[in-house]
Amino acid sequence: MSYVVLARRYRPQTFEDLVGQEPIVLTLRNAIRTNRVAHAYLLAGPRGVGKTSMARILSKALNCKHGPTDTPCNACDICRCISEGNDIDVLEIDGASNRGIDEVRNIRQNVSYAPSRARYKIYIIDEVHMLTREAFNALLKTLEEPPSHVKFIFATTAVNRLPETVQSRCQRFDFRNIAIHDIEKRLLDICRAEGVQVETAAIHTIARYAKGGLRDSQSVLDQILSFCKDRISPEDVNFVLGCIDEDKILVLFDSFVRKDASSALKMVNEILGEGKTAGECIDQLLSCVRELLIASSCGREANWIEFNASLIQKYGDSFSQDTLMYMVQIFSDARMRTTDSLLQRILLEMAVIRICRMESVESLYDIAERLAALEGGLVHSNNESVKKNTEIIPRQESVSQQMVLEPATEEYRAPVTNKKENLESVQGEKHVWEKILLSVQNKKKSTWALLKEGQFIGCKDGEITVEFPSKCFFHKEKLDQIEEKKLIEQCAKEVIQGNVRLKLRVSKNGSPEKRDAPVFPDREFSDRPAVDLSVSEPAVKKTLDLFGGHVVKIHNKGG
Amino acid sequence: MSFKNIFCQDRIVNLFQKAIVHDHLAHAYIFAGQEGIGKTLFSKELAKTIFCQHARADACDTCSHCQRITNDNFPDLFFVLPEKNSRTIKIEQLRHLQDVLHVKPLESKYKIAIIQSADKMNEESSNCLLKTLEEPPSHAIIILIVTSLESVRETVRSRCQIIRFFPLSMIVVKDILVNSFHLDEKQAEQLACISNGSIERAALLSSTHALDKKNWLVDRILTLGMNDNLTFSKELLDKWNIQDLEILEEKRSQVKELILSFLLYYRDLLICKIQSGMPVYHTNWRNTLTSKCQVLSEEVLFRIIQVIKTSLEQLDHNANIALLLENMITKILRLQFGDRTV
Repeated sequence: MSYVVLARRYRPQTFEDLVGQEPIVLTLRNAIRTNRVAHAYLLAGPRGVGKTSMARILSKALNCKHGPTDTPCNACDICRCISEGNDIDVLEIDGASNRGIDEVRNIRQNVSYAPSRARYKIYIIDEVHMLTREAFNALLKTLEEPPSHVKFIFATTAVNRLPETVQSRCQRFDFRNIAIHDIEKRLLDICRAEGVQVETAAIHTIARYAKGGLRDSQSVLDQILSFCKDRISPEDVNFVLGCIDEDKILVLFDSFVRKDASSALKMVNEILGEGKTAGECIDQLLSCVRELLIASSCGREANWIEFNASLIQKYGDSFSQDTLMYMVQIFSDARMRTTDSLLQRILLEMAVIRICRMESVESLYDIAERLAALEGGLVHSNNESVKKNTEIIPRQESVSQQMVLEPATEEYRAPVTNKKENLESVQGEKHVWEKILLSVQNKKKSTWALLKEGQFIGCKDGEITVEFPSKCFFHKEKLDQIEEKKLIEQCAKEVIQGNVRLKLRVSKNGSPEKRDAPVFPDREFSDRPAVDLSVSEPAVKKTLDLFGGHVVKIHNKGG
Repeated sequence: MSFKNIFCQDRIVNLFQKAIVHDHLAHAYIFAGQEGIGKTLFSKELAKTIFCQHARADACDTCSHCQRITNDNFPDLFFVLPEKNSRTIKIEQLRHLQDVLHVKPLESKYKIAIIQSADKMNEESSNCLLKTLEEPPSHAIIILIVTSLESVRETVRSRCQIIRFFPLSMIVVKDILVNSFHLDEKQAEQLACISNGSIERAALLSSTHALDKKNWLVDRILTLGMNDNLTFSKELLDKWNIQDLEILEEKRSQVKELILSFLLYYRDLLICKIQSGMPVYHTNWRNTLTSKCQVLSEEVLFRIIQVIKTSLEQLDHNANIALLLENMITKILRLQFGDRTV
């Protein structure tokens, strides 16, 4: 007889053996005790949590010679046959291989015959989610009102793929993932029964890796047992699981902190040389970053997550939350579903370099705050004898260019009134243009978007001239269409009153002045050199570069 | 051949020898590792060792069982692989496999099924295999060979023991290339370098004269100007004979190799830029690259690599090949020559 893997040998045989599904066990046992067993059950849940085992135990409980009982004997002929999966009355069907309507018709035909030796005829359909639609529908009537000697038990990992009509005819039980300590306990029991020594740390690593699937953990344990007979150390476990050794991860994080790209790259090289795939490597780094992130946002006391103690202790304070978020982003960018190992490797290297190169990231909120402070400073530095403006610009205005436009029209009004005479006409026209733009914006956003690229030249005898830089030729073409033109002219009419014609042209000298340059303030305040000075101030310049905006207005306090 | 012909996988060989001696073989394994590092070869050797009439821990290679396995006509060893011109393993193939497995072995204690490219099983077929994987007949051993574990479903993974294969070291690849493919030392070394430890890839590259093309490519990239984008992509299509290929899949894999060469080049530039002393793939150009990378900022290189990555993704999404290439090269060149609007 050849070797049978642990997961099969230690398959639970009684309700007590089932780990971590107490509520379901309780319900089913009570149902058996009070003789309220339904005719169809649907067992749903992730892999390796005991669905198939439950189905078998339930059928044993129902069909056992000494039953129906909630403690099947596991000794009688029927119980043993069910455990081996070849009982004549308990038909275990592989739903994924026998998924067609013909197989279901077969079941339907046989349902009416009484069981040959036991109390019930039980159909266990495993992987039931793979049945075809026709097969499900063919089953419906039988499932609703089967003969009294027939029970159905469905087991599936993807319950959402069952039609509602099937779900509504079954009692549904949702299995949950098994907790880490439950898995540990079970593994330790197995180790004891097998007579092997395993370090608890190793067991813990396996249990964590299994992510709630008991069978996963048993497969791993089995592999480790066959690999190293007597003692099991964490290194062996890491080898089997393909995990990166903890100290290597720490070295990597150390290089991240020191921003030492070359040592990080060497580490990556070493890790990949051990046969770990780049994908796994990224996943593991991601989960480390996640731990750091949780530790920094929930505090280290958060006991619902298993922290990697040494990692948290060493690097818990090295990164800000936003930096960690950025790291998550970089790593997930590098994650690509591909089988090409070369490509994966390069992407991982890139991610590592980028992380070593990143400056500490600050939150947008902080930047906005600093910007506001900067604005305040600007106001103080600009001691001018012009109007004191008491209104405060809301902070967002400086952040978004688009939002600036609306308040801008109102704000320009204030300085205009006490301008010198010769400026007034130009200023007035400018102001009118802003108003026209605004009204176009309210009417049709797309037109406005095209129009705002243009530069207002002047208004003479009811003819508004707008010039477009040569690269915006398309904009001009588009606006030259009749309906667009009409719309703009209508808007202009509302503002100016009187007949207005729109003239569009493309600037001739190829490259018009830089768009980014703050046009308005330059003209408007041209008589005040101090403004230019503050615009050219490095802090302001940097802010402008950073957000690609332009200076709308400068408060002048004091004086 | 026997286990001593397996390179770089000592731990795995060790594991299986122990398992065989102690009669501890599980019924389902997943062999995972990049393509062309000897997984299939190993599975065959494993089958030999299990079936061999004489030795216990290693195959003798002389008995009739071993001989027949070498020649692929042993009745208790069963291979499943995707049908020709098909991207997936079909459910019918696996149903057939189930039937075969349920028949008792003819000549030995075991019956071994090796499913190659098991990551190409589609949803139906992998689900179909689940029950068999969980509780196969006691004489059955099923081996799934995959290149990446990600494409294997959780439900399948949890039923198998996962064996991770190591990439081959450069020296081993070089030796194999020299001994079995009769390449000269220098060429073998370069091929070993760009094949990332995969014999299959190295062999493919050597058969398509990839080295010459790669050298030509690098020389050409170094001399490119801002407005060469269209002529260059045309040249590339001609040089790689892409338009002449009939089957779309072949075309795509050629283009993929081509784009990967780009990726390697820019990756090397970045590595040179960082001055980390890491090995580069273009060893001959190291000096040229070092001087070239002075002109480009890291940011630009990152963005170029991002562009290449996106192109690779789009290639998998059925993008038009010629357009894709043109687009990628245009973007790269514009980035290289300092246009930030891309």
